[in-house]
Amino acid sequence: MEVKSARSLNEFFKDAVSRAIRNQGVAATEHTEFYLVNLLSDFSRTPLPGGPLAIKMCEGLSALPGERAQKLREVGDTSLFVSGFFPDSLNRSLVDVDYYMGMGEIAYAHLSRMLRGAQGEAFGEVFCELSDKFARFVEVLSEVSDTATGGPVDVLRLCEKYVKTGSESVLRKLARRGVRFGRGTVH
Amino acid sequence: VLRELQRGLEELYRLEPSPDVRDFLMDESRRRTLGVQRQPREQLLLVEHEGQLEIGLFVDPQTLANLALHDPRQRLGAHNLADFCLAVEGVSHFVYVAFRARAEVPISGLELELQAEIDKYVTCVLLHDDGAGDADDARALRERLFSRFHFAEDLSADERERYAAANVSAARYARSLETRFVHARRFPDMLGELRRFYRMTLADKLDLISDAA
Repeated sequence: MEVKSARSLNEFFKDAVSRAIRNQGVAATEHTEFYLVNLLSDFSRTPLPGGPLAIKMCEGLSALPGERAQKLREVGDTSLFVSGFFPDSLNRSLVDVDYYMGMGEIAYAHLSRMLRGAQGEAFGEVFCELSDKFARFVEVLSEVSDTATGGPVDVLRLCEKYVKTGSESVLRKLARRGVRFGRGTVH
Repeated sequence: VLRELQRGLEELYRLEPSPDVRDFLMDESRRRTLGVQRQPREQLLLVEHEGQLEIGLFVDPQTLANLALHDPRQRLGAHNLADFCLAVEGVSHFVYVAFRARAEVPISGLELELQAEIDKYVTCVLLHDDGAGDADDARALRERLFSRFHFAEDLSADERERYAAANVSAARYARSLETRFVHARRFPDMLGELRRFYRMTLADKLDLISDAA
């Protein structure tokens, strides 16, 4: 088994994120791309924060400014990562992926407004971009997730997802793996 | 009272009428047979079975008896306010679940609790005897509903966290409604906003509350 060092993990995510952004045709600033790479590196080293996202969102929105930024960033990052990497995990919960994505979009939008005109203006622009194109960045992370996983189980999972959702994006992923859907037959 | 509350909420939010809430009421013995972990004075039980949603509502019979004796439409005060709020909470849950089920949109526990807290405040404000536009009355009511309360001791940590989050957000929204609409007696405008609010996602509701506060 190959063990990747932290440096090579960062490089892996950097390549994967750049490629996915290109493939998905998303216009993203260099800062946002860098933010996504760091987000993936961080989540690959530390466990996901526990507890319902909506409760954290409530706490974040009613917290004092310093704590608010930290909590909202946690909501945005968790929402983006889970929606992109583990959307199937939400099948077992009361809420769906749209609900989860909605939380992240709003959290980043609040952060961008908080940081507008402040010292962290560059961050404000990153959060604004993440909020405005949240669904597109979920697709980007989803493609990175496919690169990071792969294999027949993953193809089966994508087939199930396509049958269930009819998503064009999933269909494209399957096509990249040589799977074609046509007239009720899977090849 | 429950049926009147149901009609009132459906009218307030301009909803398609849902089935009569009284047909879904369950008594204590029925609730016990379902083996629920907690037996609070108000409880909405949901079971999804083969794509069908089954609903049952329990409301403490003493609450219903007190409301039958002291009709909240005649006067709302210390003698019936707590029971009225309990009944509103149960009916609010029922109506909101039915609304979301019809639209096939999933619902979370926090959404249910938040909406119920707001429904309690709004129905009390609209029912209040001494003129809903009275600033002191509205403030006193808000403080009574959102500040002077205690959590049931048998709540789990998750439930306590959920109720606390719903309470804080609802209190902030109630204060904002009070400032923007109740004091100025702009009730038609308030109803318009409440109807839009009811149909929002939880994320958008929290966003609106944060901006309005």
